[in-house]
Amino acid sequence: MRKWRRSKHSAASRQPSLPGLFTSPKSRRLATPHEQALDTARIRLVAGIFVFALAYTLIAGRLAYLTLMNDTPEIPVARPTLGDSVASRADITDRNGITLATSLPTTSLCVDAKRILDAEEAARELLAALPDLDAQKLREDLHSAKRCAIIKRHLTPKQSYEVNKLGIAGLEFRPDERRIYPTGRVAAHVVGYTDIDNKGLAGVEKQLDKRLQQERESVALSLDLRLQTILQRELNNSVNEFRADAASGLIMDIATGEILAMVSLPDFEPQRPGKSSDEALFNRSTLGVYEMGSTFKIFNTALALDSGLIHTGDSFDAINPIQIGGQTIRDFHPENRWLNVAEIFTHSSNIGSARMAARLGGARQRAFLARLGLTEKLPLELPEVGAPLVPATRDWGETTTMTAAYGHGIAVNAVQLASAAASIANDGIRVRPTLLKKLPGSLPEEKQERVVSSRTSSLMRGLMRLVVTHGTAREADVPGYMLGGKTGTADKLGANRRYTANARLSSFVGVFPLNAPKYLVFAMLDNPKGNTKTAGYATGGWVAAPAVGRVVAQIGSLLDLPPMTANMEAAAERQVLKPLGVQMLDGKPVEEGSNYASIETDSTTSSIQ
Amino acid sequence: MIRASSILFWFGLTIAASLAFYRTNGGVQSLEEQLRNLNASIEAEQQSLHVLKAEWVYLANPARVEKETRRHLALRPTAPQQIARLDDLTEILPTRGEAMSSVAVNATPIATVRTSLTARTAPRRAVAAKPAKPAAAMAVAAADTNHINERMVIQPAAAAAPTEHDPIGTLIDKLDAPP
Repeated sequence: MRKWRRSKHSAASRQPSLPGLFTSPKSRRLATPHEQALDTARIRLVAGIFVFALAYTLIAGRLAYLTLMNDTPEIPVARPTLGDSVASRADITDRNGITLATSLPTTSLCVDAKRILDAEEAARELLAALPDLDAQKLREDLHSAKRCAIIKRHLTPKQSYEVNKLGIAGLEFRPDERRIYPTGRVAAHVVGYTDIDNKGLAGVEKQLDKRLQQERESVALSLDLRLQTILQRELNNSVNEFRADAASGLIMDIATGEILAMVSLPDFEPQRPGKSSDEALFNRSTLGVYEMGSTFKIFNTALALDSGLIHTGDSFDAINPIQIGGQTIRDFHPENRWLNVAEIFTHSSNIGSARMAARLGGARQRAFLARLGLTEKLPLELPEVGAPLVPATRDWGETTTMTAAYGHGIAVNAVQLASAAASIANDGIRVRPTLLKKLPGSLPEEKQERVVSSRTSSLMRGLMRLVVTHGTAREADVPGYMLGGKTGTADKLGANRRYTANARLSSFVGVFPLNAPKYLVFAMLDNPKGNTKTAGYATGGWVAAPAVGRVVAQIGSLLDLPPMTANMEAAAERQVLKPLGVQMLDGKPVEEGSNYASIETDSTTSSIQ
Repeated sequence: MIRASSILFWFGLTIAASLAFYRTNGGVQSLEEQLRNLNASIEAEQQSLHVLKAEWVYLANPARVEKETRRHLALRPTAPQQIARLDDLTEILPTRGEAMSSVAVNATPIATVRTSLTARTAPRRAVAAKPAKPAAAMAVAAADTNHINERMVIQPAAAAAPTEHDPIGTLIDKLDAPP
């Protein structure tokens, strides 16, 4: 006991209890190694206490701050709402926000065969619940070694409920989604379609696949579903009426280049593209390149007038067909006389156009077509864009020059043709087509690219009007809309690379209202057959022009263009024809001031007739 | 004595704190449960909203509406001649003199036109007034609202077991097999 007590004493003197922590340095003077160790321990202890004290102070301070001084409301625990879109792939809408493609939540069913107790019974029950399953494949899946063998994709909620009710162990449901196209085939070629895994395979679905997968914000196309529906219906009517093999067409906003409607017939159900033929899946408006025929005379004539070398009143010999390079250039309705430029355009004379082009020369012609974007692949928001077939510069001889004048020997797609024609009508400013909606006002001021002069553009608009009032497209006229344009009837190349006489592409490109061009409508029928109503003719003026007329009559009011009254239209027509120096009297264009008391005498240019 | 009472005090305080904690904890848990349910039903609502939207686009598709219109109504696409601007009425409408002379020629007093107009609208009004039995009309209205409510409010339980309504399945079936 004593020993213990003494030893305790001595221990106490050597190891001071806590109050001795802060002993004076005096005691350290006699520092033995033993005491030094004690000192170190002491310092560490102090440091530890300090750290803990600081931590507790911080905690106390934070507590006081949070409870007493912080007056912000409690952080809401509720998650932010998920927004409108439930699906992970973004929607595609038309320009007015109407859904063209969206995704619905579904479930996919897979099986872990190892956990299946009775494969036969499971197979029997599953077949009863999902009758369209392949029994053979189902049995294989139920016996496979896979952890998750997919039995069926995209079960509807009702189906997955039915399967769940069976209570088979080993079945697993995985959330999935299925792409649907609620508007059906109307815009099928533009929107495109996806595979079963919602990966884009065609159209905008393919072109913007990444964007659609990564962002939730829906993509607004330039299409207007209403115009699309009208264009599709009218082209369908024309295909039926003239027993055509196919058709394509588009409506374009000239000012912005937005494509408001684009149709290719035959079309397909985007919901099940696998069941459609290649013919139906083929986009004739963008992927198909064609020798467009006489619609190219718009460019030939515009070039001629813009060059300053040829004027509307200049005449060309159109008496006899031209023999060149083993080909014969002849007119469909030969006038067999000298024709002036305006007559060549309105009567669509191939001979006259060829002679005009020959005078201008191939180099100038090729450069002009390039400026209009007709010689290079068109940039457009679709994977299906056909590159034009253009002769190489070294092959661009006189034959090419003469045939290109009336749209043969060079093949472009419909959007290219329409954009180039729109550029001519758009006061000569190049129009670049797009399938995406442009937001009004937020347009970056694009560099305006001039292709022809304003003067040439106004002359061309006058000529386009004459085509409708007394030329080849009289069937297209729509009272109140000041429509003008150019017909085209191209012979199709047969299997032997020779033109066949009875297979043709008939088209019409129309612009309205010509006094202030806003919209362009293009229609093309592949291999139409004439009927009694058209006196057996199946040319662009007889089959495509009426379709465009019907479309314009219906879309005008939708585009906020109410029809002009008779007086207004007469004034607009005077304005459109004035640059040509002609006026309309009794439905015939005559030189201003020739017969009747004229309103103005602009003695600049030509006469017709 | 002081010691015993202070022990009692601290003990009581502990019990009270535990009880308060228990109650709060339970409250928070039930609130969280509520929140989960609410979120689930918001999600279900959003989903059915999405499906209804898709269904609406399918039903309001111009091509479909046009087909139905041609089948059931005598309406046809509007011709440009049927459209006029208000400002153009002065040009389109006959002037007073023309109107008077045409009236004189046709000997059709304006009053007669008016009566014929009212005569034409009168039977329609009669038709509209036909369900004059207020009870029946109200029953129809009530049934309609019931129907709407049924459709609009999808309970979470109902969403999980769509035996009655299966909008997703119906829409997909319709799109897969168009008429």
